[in-house]
Amino acid sequence: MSSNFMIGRRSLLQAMGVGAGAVVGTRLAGRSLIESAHAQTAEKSAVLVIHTSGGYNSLFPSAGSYLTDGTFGVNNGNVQDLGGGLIVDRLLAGTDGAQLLPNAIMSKNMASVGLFHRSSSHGVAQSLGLAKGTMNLPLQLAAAMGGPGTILAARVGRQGLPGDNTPAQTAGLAFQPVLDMSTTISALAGGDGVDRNIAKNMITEAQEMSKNRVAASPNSLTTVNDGYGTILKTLTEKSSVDFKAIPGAYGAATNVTDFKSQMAAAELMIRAGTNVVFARNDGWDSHGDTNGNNVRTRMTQQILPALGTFIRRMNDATLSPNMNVIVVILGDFARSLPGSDHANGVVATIVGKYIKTGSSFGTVTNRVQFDPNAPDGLGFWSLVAAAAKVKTNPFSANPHTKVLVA
Amino acid sequence: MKRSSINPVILLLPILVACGGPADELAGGGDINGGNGTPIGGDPNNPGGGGPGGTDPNDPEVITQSCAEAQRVYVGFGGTKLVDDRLMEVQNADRGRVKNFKVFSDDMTRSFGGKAPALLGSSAQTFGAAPARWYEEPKSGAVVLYQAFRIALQGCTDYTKDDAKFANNPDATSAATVCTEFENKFWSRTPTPEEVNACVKGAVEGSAKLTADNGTTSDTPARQRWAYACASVLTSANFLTY
Repeated sequence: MSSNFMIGRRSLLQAMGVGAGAVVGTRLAGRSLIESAHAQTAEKSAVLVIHTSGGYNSLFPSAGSYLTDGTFGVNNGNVQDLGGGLIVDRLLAGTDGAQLLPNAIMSKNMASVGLFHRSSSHGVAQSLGLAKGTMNLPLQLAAAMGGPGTILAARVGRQGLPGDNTPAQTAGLAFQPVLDMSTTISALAGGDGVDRNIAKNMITEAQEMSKNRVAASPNSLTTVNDGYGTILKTLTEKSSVDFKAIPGAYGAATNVTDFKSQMAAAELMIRAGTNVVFARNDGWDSHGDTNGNNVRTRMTQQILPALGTFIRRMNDATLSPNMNVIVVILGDFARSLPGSDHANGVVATIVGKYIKTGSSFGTVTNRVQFDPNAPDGLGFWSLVAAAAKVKTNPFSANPHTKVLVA
Repeated sequence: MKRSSINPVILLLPILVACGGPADELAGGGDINGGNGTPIGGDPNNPGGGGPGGTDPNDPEVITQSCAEAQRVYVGFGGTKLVDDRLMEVQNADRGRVKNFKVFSDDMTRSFGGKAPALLGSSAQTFGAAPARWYEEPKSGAVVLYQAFRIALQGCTDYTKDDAKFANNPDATSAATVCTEFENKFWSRTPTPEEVNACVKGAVEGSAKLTADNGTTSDTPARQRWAYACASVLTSANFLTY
């Protein structure tokens, strides 16, 4: 199972030369996407970044901060004490059996982490959460995670990266937009009217016809050369993963137009070998939402159902063996008091098998003040890199070791 | 005044001539350093009959000399070599580029006499078509190649549906003729024998049997076999790159 899955996923990654193209990495022509991913480590790591653009109210990851005062509508009935100093909104980790997110995972592998960027301006704050100078931190992470895939970093949906000064490229990578899953699914799973055996034979001959041309441009046409090898592998091997079923598992169409399809596309891309997937969800600038009802409703209706499906599927031992998928939720900043306006840092939520329940600079004061020693974006992404088991952390030393499984 | 306008030109000349014909490098044109104006790459339709810079530009064997080996080195006024900070690459190598979606789309449409395969209309994202007034270096990959194959097959299926010459199964003789036509037409150049043979092999052997989901096989209809062979030519780097 794992070998089949490996093949499908690897093939998919390179397959994704999805246009856009800015994806480059170490390429191993002819290897299946999955095989290469597993060759690097015993398990394949991937990161899903959910950016709630506009803000991420700390009532979710730091609910305990507001329990005494009852601000943002926090009360004993809507929080969950997970121990380790972490009290979160019940929507993230309730235990009553009717939760949208899997409590067994959220209560054991979720942490709240402070990212103190010191800006209350949307565009600046967004950039500071995702970049350090000219370095796009998630792109740098995607590059450091490596792998031969053509698309190491993807953004699902039409929205671009948030932020006034968020670099579009770093380390030779850019987030490849994924707006339609059908092509990738077709390449992986067939069922498109093309005889896969004949297609394999024909592309083999196409590669033969291309031999001299590719050899004459070994660097500039490397993606072509790798692409032939990967698609031939993909057409040769059958995966146990039912790629066609992925959109349906989320109740999504193949066009990536809503959060459900964003999560489906995220799963597809990760199974195809992408290291970092970015999913932006707009509409979280919740001014005046002093009782937190608007953001709770939005979280319940828009985010959690599909996110719950994603987390369950990516942590299913049968469906996703040898996978280490990390989910990060962050936005521009927390919401300040009294009017649910702009704080100057954000408490992010991170979930992953190597994340330990707890808070690392992730508990703000009852007035939404951050610990002045809380690290900035570089520190946060260093934690993500550590959780992804990157061999050489491309950022500073991880300052959030207390929430990382040793 | 007069001196200040001339000096920069003088200073630039050694740089321009230091290593093989930069003015015409991308076009594969003459080597101004070589002095005889013979195209470096020779005639692509006449492998083996090119000029002194090599024969077939697609032949990797001609790529043997780096700029460092071929260039003339000049020392500047500061006593440093003007080429010290130059990136050294093999001459004549890596000129191939992946066509961007617009070019690919136009060439595909041209190949079918102006009739664009319908799949082209929904493929821009797959190929990473850059937004208007924006440029991104196109890159290929497995999904891109597969989608290119699907588009080509769609166009080729239409292209081969009526002509009598596609009514019978391909054999070595007919395939050699038709494959040469395909390659001439789609690549706008004369193919090499090896390139024709690859197409023939696909037409005669590779396309012969359809395989059902349950593993059973059946004979592929003749026109479909020609369509697959046609698609293989359009999925080669000779069409997808320039």
